[in-house]
Amino acid sequence: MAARGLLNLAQASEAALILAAQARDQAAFGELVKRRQGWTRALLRRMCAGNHAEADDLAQEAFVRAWDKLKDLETPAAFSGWFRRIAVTTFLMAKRKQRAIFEEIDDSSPLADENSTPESAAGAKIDLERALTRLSEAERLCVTLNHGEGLSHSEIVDVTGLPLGTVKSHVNRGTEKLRRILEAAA
Amino acid sequence: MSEFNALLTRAFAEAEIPADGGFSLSVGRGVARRENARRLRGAVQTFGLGLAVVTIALAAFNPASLLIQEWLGSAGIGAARAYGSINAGGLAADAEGVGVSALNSLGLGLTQILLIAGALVGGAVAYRAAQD
Repeated sequence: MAARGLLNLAQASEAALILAAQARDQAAFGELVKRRQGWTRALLRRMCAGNHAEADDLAQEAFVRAWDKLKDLETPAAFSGWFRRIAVTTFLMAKRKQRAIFEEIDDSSPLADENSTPESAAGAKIDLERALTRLSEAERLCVTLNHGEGLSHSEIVDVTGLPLGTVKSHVNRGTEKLRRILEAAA
Repeated sequence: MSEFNALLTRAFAEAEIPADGGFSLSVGRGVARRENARRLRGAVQTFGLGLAVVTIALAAFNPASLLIQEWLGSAGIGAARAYGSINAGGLAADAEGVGVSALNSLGLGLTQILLIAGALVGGAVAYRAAQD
């Protein structure tokens, strides 16, 4: 119903697009993807340590999963958080398949190749993506959600399903590692 | 540390946003494939359900019709006998005959009744499946 009314998708509000997409309007969902793809792919690229191809595959999977589950979304206002959770869950499922995450929770996760790739930045410019690649998977996930997405520790617990203590530990350790990496680069 | 946290948050905010570069189109194709597969699955399910309902209706028809005919027939005979005993004795046999034949006709009409009921149930199931 709402779908047929959206003649000019580019000018439609996000809420209208979401409602239309819930009514199975593929064009409206396509416009929603156009608007959200940058944020989603940037988030997943950070989580995937700069592996753009893997991040884009996961982003596509997240969008298709969102299309399947759109009926479950209660209100368009909740779309951001709801979709972020889908993107993070998609990432976690992929990593669990690879058995790459959560195995390092108890290790001390030393900096990978701390001295092998000196940062080339001459000034204070932060090469964030490169610095993130030197964190462990779980640290990168928690730091990205905390500093990049502005989620609190308890919100990260909610999104990832990790225990609160583990989240705090990953955020603190990851942030400290980033500080050391970026100070060394400056 | 809080100063660094602020710097980090700003760095995240200023990070490069990837250009579309055909990504949205690719997602659109994925969604379209998904929808086509879903529609095909729905059609197959509907067809399967319809087939199942028709099969069950046909399988249940013979025993059910015999049973119901017998039941209606005996009920009709009972009713006719009761009617006959209340009224004049001479009319009892006629009444019994009329009752039996009327109820037997009704029993023979069960073919149509069961087929219609089966079709209605099948249609309702198919409609519900299509709505889901």
